[in-house]
Amino acid sequence: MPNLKTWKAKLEGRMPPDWAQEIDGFEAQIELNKQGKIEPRVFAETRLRRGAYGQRYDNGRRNDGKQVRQLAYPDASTWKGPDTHWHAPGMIRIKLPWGGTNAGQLETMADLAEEYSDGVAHITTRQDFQLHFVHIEDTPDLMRRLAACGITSREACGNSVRNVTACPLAGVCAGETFDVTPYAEAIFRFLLGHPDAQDFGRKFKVAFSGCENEGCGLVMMHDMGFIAKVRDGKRGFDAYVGGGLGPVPYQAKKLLEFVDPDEILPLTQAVARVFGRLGEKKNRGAARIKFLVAKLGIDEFRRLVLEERKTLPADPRWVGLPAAQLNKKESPLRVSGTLPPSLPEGFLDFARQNVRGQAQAGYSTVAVQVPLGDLTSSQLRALAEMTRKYTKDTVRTTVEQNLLFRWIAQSDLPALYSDLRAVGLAAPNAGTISDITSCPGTDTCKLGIAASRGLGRRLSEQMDAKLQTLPPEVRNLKIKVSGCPNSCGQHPLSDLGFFGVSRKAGGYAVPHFQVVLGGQWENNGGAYGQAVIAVPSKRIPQVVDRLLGWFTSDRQDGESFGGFVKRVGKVETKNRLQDLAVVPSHDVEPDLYQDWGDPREFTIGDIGKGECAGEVVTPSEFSVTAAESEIFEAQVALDGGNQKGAVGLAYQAMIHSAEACVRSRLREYVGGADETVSKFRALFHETGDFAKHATSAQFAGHFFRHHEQKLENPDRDEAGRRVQEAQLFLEAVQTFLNA
Amino acid sequence: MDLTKLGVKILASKGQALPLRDLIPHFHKIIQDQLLPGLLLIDVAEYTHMHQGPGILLIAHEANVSLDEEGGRRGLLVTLKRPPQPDAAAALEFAFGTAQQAAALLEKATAGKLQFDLGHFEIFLNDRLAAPNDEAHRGEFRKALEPLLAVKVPGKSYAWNPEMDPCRRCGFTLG
Repeated sequence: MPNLKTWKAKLEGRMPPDWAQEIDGFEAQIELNKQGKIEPRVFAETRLRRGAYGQRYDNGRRNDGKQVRQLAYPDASTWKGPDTHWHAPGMIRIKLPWGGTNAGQLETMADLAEEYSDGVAHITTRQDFQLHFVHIEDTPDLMRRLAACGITSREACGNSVRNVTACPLAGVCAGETFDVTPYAEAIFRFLLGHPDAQDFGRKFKVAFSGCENEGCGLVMMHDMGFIAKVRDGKRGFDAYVGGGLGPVPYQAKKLLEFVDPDEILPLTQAVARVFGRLGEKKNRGAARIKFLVAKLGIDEFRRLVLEERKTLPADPRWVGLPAAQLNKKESPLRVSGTLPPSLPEGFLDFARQNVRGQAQAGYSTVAVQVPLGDLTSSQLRALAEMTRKYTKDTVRTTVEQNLLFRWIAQSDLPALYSDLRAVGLAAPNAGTISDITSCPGTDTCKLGIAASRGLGRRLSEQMDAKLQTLPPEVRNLKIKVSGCPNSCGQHPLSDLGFFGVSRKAGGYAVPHFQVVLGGQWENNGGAYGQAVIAVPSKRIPQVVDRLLGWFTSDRQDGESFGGFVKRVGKVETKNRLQDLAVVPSHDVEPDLYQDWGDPREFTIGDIGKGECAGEVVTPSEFSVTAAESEIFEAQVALDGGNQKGAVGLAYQAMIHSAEACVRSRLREYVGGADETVSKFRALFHETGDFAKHATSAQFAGHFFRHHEQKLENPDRDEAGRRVQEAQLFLEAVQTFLNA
Repeated sequence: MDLTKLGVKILASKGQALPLRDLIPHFHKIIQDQLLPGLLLIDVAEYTHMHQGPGILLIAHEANVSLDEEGGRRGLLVTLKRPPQPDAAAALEFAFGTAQQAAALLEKATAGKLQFDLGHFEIFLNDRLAAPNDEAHRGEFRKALEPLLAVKVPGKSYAWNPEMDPCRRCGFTLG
């Protein structure tokens, strides 16, 4: 009878074997870290690359509004990263490539939110899900349960290729050039764990857009992006590179025009290699690819990429992966009918705003406005049920932190609306000015300066109250809020954007937001807003009212908000808001000295060290970490009576140990076992280098013997010796590398 | 039966309509004045914008303590985390005891506008692996709980309403 007392046993065989192996390896690294055998810096980057992020206060300090309190976490000497306590709650970021999800995944998310988090799953501005307040020791089981329903958290954070995003309407949009979903999926699968994407100095974000003008894919703000084009009946992509938000947003530059779909994977691989090789690694603030492209100029960058492209060994996946995805087509659950004669109350308002006809006649998309991107476990289960009831698993998250049902039959719309209303998700305001996007901010982010979610909530209520009376030119404006200048709320792309800052008044810190106006969502994030003035957080609602009133009264015919802002100019705008920026003393208006939803006296003392930048860990260090995990797993296998497994893991550990040496000389080395043995022999053994620094040459001898003499049915003694020899070889390698 | 991942929610008997947002400061005060000894109090998380959501949570190392609104039922919810309690009796004592303490704090802070009925509560196991929600496990759970409750609240008899939805956690509403 199988032991089903662990999630590992229960879910055996229900996920790709390599995913299972990776999670087992990560679990082993957790144990090794607890034993103090992994450097916190290395473990931090390891867990970031598995999507396990830190959260505010994980440095063990929190200002409770009266004093800075030390949080006495148990096992105070155990860390999961520099200045990051082991037991401090963290966050897990869960990738949904192009926002695609299904009923089973939504149900799993509900279970995980209840058992490991605070009961809430959060949709992010990159179509991911996030769970907060998760303990690091729960993460392997959490990852297994995700893997069993087809989700990986691998490379959700850290210096890696992050979630690949795409327009949520891809495949059903009447205005698109063609469906970009298959290509987004192909890029995700190709780059996940790709050796050429493991040595970045910073994150790398990729996006796809089905058109140029609407451009919900927001290609212009991405490290790399693709816009669908057709020429003479053939499909292709304009490829862009070097965009990025952050404190100083950059617009992407056109890398190549009309790239064949079979070329987008090798092109991205070539870009990754150039970025990995030439990108900044020491100065984290200048390490995004946008800085490299700016420094070299797009022409030189292009030249380097095309040169790199010529050197790439052919990979059948370049053509095979997109082709395989093109065979997958969405379809409706049922034949569409007409709307029933009797409609539930509120349905028409809902349909007017949240329902759009698809390119495919008779079917619609239904946008579900999710307040601040947060869903309870009950809502997730209800949404799963609706997904099954009305679709064939055609539901996506959006970068505006909402959900989009696709392929809804006309005849099903009222029933879907009623089901949404029953769980509080039928607000008729998706995409309107009251549908506000916000990053987590000071709620959970270590870098948050001001309460972006608190402000987002307040502005949403303010706009909701008057939504039906707002003129059309205002109704569909976008408001986005970030808790700091790093732009995770995507405020530079909004009509009215806000990012958190702090100002001093009379010796007190006062939460403020910088007002950023005139960003452009259209044209793939075609322009970034400009900062005008910093105003106390609690006065931002007045800023919004005043600006919207001014726009409504002074707008010229057909003028957009962005056009209006440009025409009236920054100086006049600042003048109109200047009085709101004046901060009276603490005893006159104490409310200004607290932030939204937080009664504590405001402080910036809780800001910690962000993990967005990850840790720069060399490929050699990663190889050593892999070897350590494998030796640990080998010992576990030996203890469990699995001699053959133990010998296999011991051998793998030796290959990774040798690889660490090779990578210390050849940073970009990627090779199989035979090549690694051969390179180690030539570079370190025959030259005498290894014996000189590694205390003994015999350990290299163990390595060669393990490679040449495989054991098919080792007994316990033989297996035990092999594991021990692998351990000794690794120790020798570490001595050598540290010499 | 392993009860270490116990959850207890004492249902509110009065003040169900009090605006949640008005109650946020009370949670911060619990941290400022360390009013729940025995817990490493970390932070306050608030979800007052959500429909029947987790409301306001006090995040602690050993448990989350929240004014929860799930199912449209406001109540004081304690969900045990780590380290695991030494045995079932200790788990029940810790979860129930913490819930009672927190409920008393909120009753006092709101001058009685918010009140809780200690005899009307939900109890569940937050562990779908150890305790899937089926008849067998519900039976085992009840069998483990009954003697413990008899010690904790002697002489009190409860109506046991099981949670029948297999997607939800193994548990009961007692009242």
